[in-house]
Amino acid sequence: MKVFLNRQEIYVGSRVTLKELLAGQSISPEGVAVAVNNKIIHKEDWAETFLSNDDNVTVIQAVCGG
Amino acid sequence: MSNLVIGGREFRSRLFVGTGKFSSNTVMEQAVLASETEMVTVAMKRVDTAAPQSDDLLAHIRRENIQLLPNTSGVRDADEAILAAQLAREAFGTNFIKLEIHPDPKYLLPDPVETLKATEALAKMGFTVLPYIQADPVLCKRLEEVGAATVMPLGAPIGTNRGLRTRDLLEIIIEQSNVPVVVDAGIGAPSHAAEAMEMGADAVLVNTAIAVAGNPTEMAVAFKEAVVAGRRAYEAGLGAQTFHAVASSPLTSFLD
Repeated sequence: MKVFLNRQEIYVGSRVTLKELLAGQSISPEGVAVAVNNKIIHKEDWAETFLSNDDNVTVIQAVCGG
Repeated sequence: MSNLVIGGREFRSRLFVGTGKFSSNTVMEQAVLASETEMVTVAMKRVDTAAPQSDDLLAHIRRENIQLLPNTSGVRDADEAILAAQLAREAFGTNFIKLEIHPDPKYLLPDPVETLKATEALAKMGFTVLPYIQADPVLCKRLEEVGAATVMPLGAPIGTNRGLRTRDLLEIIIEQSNVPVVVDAGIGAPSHAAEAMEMGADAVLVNTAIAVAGNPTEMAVAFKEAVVAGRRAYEAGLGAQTFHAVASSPLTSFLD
């Protein structure tokens, strides 16, 4: 199936968790926050969050700014 | 000097510092520490999956006495701002949010309608909302009514270093406000910061003027001193201005 990670199309297996998706993209859990379809998913729930086709995953991190 | 309280947290420093535009994170860290600020802004961006997380910015600024103030820069409307605030709370573990919604890239002026909507929603969700806004006294009262923790009116557009172009409106805002007034944006010199503090602003937020200075660490110290001087003068009570001279020395003829 296909999901969007920060607006980029990514093809994954049919039963993939959020944790697996992020690990597969080498995204470390430190200092990031994640939303799936604009709903925040806390870190402790990543392993139990199964993704669906066309899910929209947003991952942000801190950058410098004023 | 009195301390500042925002969102139940007490601040001894009335200088808030932004982390953008420094030549490196090390230079930024030195300037932040030299400023003795207790409130430091950070922005957020989507992780680039092609080049994931590099230098850990937060390691440079996380200190016991520093409150992180994540901003919502980059959002276009209230809905995006609300999502950004929730992501910030998750990433940084704080309810503090500097709400900035400025879709126009030329002047980066904040959208008052979307800012008011987002402030109300975020305050209800338990956020400590510090909205960046126009120097509009009516808007400031509306933001206060819907739960803003402070108001952050601009002196001049972001990054322009042009000082308090909105001075007359800032005076009205300060006079009327029941929440702390933080003058944000446009402060380009320590004298501008001192001017805002002498007027009775509760704090100022400075980024560009420190970051692009020839020596950012020295400039951070200069701003720290200017903010202290301005606040001290305000609390001491400035003398009234007059048009005609008022003698400071006796005017009797010297040898009479």
